[in-house]
Amino acid sequence: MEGLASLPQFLLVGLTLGSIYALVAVGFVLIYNVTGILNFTQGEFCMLGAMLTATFVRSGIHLLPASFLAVATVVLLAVLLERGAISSARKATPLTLIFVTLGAATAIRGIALLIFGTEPYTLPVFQNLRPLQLAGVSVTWASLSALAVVVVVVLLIFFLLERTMAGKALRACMINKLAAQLMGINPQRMSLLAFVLSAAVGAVAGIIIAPITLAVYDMGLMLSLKGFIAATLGGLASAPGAIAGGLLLGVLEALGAGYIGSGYKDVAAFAVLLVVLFVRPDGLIGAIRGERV
Amino acid sequence: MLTVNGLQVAHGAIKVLHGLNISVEQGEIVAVIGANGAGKSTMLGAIAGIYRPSGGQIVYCGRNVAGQPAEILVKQGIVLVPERRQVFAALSVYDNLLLGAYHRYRSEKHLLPAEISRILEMFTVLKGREKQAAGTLSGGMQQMLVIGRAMMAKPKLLLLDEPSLGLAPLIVREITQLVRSLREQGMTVIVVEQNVRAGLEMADRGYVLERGLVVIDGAAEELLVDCRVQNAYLGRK
Ligand SMILES: Nc1ncnc2c1ncn2[C@@H]1O[C@H](COP(=O)(O)OP(=O)(O)OP(=O)(O)O)[C@@H](O)[C@H]1O
Ligand SMILES: [Mg+2]
Repeated sequence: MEGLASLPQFLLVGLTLGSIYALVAVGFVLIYNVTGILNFTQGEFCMLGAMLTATFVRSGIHLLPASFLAVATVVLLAVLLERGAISSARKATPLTLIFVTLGAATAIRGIALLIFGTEPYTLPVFQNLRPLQLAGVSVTWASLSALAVVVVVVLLIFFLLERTMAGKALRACMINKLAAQLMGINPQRMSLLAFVLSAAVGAVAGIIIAPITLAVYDMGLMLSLKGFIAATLGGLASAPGAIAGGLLLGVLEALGAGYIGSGYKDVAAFAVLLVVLFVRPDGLIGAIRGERV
Repeated sequence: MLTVNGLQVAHGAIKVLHGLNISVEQGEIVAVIGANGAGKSTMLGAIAGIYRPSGGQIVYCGRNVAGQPAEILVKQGIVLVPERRQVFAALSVYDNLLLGAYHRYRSEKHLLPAEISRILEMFTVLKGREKQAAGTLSGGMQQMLVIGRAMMAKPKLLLLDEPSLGLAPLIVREITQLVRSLREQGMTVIVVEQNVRAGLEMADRGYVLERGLVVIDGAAEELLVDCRVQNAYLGRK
């Protein structure tokens, strides 16, 4: 049994992991509120971001351009997915469309297996640097850079949603689709925008998780589920809720793994989901905050 | 300006409008009154492009616009204020007004701050609340906000669905004044009301709708004293 002394270390691990769940959850919430679909390709966006970046870096491209290239590729794929499978089938029920995304996720995973194989990829970032020691907590540079990137991405998302007309229109569409449409906002364009944003954010999440946990072709499924749990925990209604849900889930997992045993990490996550769904089907944090976005 | 000809609209298997005819001249305020479920909102929704008609024509400025989507019709000047004050609750009053001008944001971006100030002059209850979340406003203020938001879209034909619903008499009077002042600005308005007296007091002309058909029409003052209207809707005094 670990003592209280390890708590800061667990919290750090939890926040790092949680910040990645937060990004996946934001993607879920954006798409869900604009289209009514739970998009289970969200985790595959992360996987592709990670695998493509690792592949590009292996072939000699620098990390930064490799990342941009990977994000752009994932965004392009999301556009194709939205136009090809989601938008053209928008008359179908949301439940059908959720199955469409599950199918697409399986297909993406299959293709990834063919291209990348089963071997895990590493993304060498700051590997030679020794972890920082801050008040007895050992902070790896990968973890630190992950947190920094998440902060920047979250600030960018908020700038977009709060300060730009496109972002305001997207939020309007999330809050009240009918009223938005009556103002001339095209819901299909907003759906595309939501997919583009979610794909970009998802790919970035994948890139920053790769140096911490390695990248494998099938990492997407678990990330989708964790992102979904985080989004549900946050009330499935707003980006701030999703981010809070992600951080909370990461911390709960880290505490579960640290104090009970690492085998219980995922058990903690799914237990959280069950509790949330039973106690409050519309999420905990959303219910507490009582508002959207 | 608008001629609705034999309009038929169904929600799934339920036919709601069975060949509705109304017409509206430029600069007129027309009230459409009728009981719960008569099909008033369905009519406005079809004109604004939310519901696709299964038959009939909606001729607006000389062109049949039946079946065009709402986001296109807004650009042509048909703007609907739907029932139940659909504000963007989590967004500020200012952003709600700004989004009213969404369809002309690109070309007229620089004009919008001044226009928003003008709207706030007109709706003085909203002044000083620009940063407040729209969902925290009172019902009357929300109604003013959605009308102001619609005006930011520069409508030629404004469609108001039950603007007085659930509001105190004093506020209903304010809304009535407001709609009348819209006529002075040369706007054409169709206002749907269950509150028959309020509706007719706003309007020049009125239609009475029953089960998807026009049963009575005429000048608003005449309808206010029409015995059929009085019996059925006003409760004879
Ligand atoms: N989106 C919808 N789907 C299915 N049925 C609908 C829909 N909207 C309206 N209806 C039905 O169509 C009929 C007419 O409704 P509508 O809302 O047009 O009436 P209304 O005159 O506006 O009534 P109210 O005064 O209550 O607003 C009602 O029976 C209603 O139940
Ligand atoms: Mg109605």
